[in-house]
Amino acid sequence: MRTAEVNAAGTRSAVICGLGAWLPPRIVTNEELTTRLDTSDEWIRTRTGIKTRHFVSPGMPTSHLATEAGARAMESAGVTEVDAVVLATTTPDRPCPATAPVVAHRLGLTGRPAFDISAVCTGFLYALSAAAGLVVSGAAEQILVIGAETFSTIIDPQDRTSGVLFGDGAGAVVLRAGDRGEPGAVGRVELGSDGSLADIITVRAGGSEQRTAQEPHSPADCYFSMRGQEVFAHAVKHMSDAAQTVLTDAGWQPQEVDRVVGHQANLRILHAISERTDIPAERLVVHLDQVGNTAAASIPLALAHAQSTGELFPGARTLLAAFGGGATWGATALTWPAVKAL
Amino acid sequence: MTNTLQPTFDQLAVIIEEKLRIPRDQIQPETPLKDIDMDSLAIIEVMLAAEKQFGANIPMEDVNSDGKAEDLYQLVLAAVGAGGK
Repeated sequence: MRTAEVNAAGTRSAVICGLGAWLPPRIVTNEELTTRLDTSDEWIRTRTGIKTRHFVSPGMPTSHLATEAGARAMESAGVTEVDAVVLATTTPDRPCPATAPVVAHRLGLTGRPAFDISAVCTGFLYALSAAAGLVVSGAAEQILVIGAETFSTIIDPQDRTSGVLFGDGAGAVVLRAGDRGEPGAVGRVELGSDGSLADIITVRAGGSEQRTAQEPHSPADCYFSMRGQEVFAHAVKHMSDAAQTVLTDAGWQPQEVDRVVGHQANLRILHAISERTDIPAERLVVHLDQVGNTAAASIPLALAHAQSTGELFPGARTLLAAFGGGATWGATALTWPAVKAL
Repeated sequence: MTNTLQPTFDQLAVIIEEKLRIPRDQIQPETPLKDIDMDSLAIIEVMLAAEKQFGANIPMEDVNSDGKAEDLYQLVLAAVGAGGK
């Protein structure tokens, strides 16, 4: 899917002009997890690169995180109004309705279009693509794009495999109408999916499949499950292929990429992608050590982290790439703008 | 594909050695992967590196974490024999 082709004749584009992030205050260390799971700090660190993650406290659903991050992104952009809110999440407040209208209402945006996007860990790139399309088409001048998750609410507390990987958090960007040649312009977002892989990342229960099933579901079906080895292989291949497609499109050689902001699932996946694409490993932005895998929130959270550390700088040739449940995947290349992370 | 261009077991063992820092003499065809502490993701890391080195497209769903080093080698050989990417 080529977002830029929506308006191939013109140069109108969606440009990133605001960036916000919010993490719930409660930090959960690997050591804390060892008190209830048969695991160790050494095992988690060496196999995933994760040291800490943030978990929500009682009474803090996804809309809370999304609102906090969204407000910061709007403040960063210097705006009090946007024309629409797009929220990527795997963990909506409720199965019905969508969470985005609640977030829009809390941000003082009642009346504006607001909708959720469900593409699990690729959700932010899907949302970015959809939002950019709305801007390019002229349907909106400014859009708030949020990735927010409370994965701690769907992981099995007794699952020592998946239970250590995930964290909660939210990140957001504001897109404004601008020119394709500007720093921050969102160009082609290469997206894909393969529904034959639906079982490798899933929460089986809670939807119509389970409610129309002949057999009762098990308690474990209510929790997130993942087939790690298959996810690893597919993630590396699809993220690398999508990355190479957008790099070719941008006319960038792998060595010319300044920063890779990949979905923060596992340090080993990021390194495998670096090796496969010939992008030097020192260009990888690593945030997962502090926050774990925050699914749809991971890319905007990593962007805000890299902006605050100076790893991302105005003019940086930046590659975004993700893989998630569905399976879904995506990548895009952009020149990083002068933007402040809040 | 002639035999001279076929990957050797030794080439695969070198990949395992370099990626996982496992001494070369501990990697024999009959070595169970679990005996050299190759976890499920490490096996995929090795096979991804083998794909790149040999220009092959290895079906990762056929990788068996309970297998032996020889099993990985046979997957590489089959993938290269199938004509690569």
